[in-house]
Amino acid sequence: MEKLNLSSGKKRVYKLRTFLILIFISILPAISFFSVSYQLRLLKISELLRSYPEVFNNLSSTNVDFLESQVNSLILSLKSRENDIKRANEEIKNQLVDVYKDTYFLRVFFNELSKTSNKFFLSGVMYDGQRFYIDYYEYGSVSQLSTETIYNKLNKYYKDFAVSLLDERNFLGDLKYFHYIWEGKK
Amino acid sequence: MGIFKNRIVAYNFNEGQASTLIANYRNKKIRIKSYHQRFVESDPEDLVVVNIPWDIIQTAFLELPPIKKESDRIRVAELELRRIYNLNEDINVSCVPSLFGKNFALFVRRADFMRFLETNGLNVIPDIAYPSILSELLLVKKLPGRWVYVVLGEYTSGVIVMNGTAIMNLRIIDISTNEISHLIKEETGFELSEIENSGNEELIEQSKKILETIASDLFSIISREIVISVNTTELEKILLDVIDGIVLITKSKLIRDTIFIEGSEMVKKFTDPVFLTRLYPQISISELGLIYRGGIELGKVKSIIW
Repeated sequence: MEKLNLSSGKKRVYKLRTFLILIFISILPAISFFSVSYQLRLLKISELLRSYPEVFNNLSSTNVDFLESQVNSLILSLKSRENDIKRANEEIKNQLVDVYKDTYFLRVFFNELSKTSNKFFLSGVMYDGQRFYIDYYEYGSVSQLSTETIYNKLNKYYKDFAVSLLDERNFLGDLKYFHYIWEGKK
Repeated sequence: MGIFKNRIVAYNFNEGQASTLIANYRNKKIRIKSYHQRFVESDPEDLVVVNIPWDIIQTAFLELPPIKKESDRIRVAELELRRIYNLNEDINVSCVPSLFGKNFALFVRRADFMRFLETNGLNVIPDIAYPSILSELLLVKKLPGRWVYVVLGEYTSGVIVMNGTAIMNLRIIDISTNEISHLIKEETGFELSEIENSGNEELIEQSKKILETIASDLFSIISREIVISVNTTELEKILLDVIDGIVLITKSKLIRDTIFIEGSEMVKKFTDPVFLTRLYPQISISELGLIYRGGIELGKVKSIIW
């Protein structure tokens, strides 16, 4: 009996205001989802800003949409700078080695000489910046210079290095002289 | 129907008079917002309930196949009614299951219905149109067994024979409390409801005396109608003896008292109704019933508060 109804029933209508409220309610989850995700993104970015200030100090703007491309280009520019520095470093190193090599053979020569008690006569030294050539005589009963140590020391740095005993003769009594030459290429 | 609140507007049209009851439905509760003794325009979103007078309603007991879905049942009932009455015009049909697989069907010709709305100045089609006497009966708790409900309404009265919740017979009586009220107004200068609400003992005494003079006439009409209604029950042949009781539904305490004093054998069967909600002196039972019916359309109704 409760359900008796003799009306044909009117069509359900909504006023514009109600309709708009309904639409608003239905799109509210989407809006809130996007706004929350945007806020989370901002939160993440501020966290990144705090942990990597050096990166973000180099960014022209903090617009979220262009951030990735900006960071990418920053990475690229940093990489090229790193390469430049590496190359410069390499050059300086090479230069240093080059300069070192200019005098190294002389130092080894004098160092070895000062270790022995024999007398020496340096007959000639030639160095044109690329090749060196040392010609000397050692006076003594035996040659105290070990060609092997010298070879080991200098072969590391010089190409075609050779230390050779050209001549060995009696000079006075048991005194002998030994004619050596060292040569090599830088 | 709004989104957050549901407003129900109930119109009670009687003899050119209109009253509007506006209420909000929320959480199984109906809260009456305002009551007007005139026609008040409704909002397009409101649930509109109107009463519908018995002079345009026709009833029939139909034997329908057991169909569960209400809309299908109504469609079948409509076809059946068209067949029986040879109708071609549009009709609005509603039916409730009754006893023995029969259905108590009510129908109104759409042209009559529209004319009724037009003459009362309602230019929207209401959501619900509910028959007058049944709106009063809606608020009354239906008792198990065979009971006769006598509705003494302000404008229409009727006798409904029921078995539990099933309607077995319905008969309109040609008396109304408004007529009685007019008699009293002529004598005292006040309406019956005004006198009752005022609590003026002198006036009450005066109207009691007037009522006593017409009491026997009134009672004889009512008892005659009860006897006729019981005897003309189509579904089941019953006698007055098997009736468990007679419930008298009237808002006027004075009329009720007048009838209950009568020394007839039948009066012993008379009882007071058990109402499902609280009644308010300003609002008629019919109007409350209409607003209650509107609430049922939206969900359960536990209470009506003002």
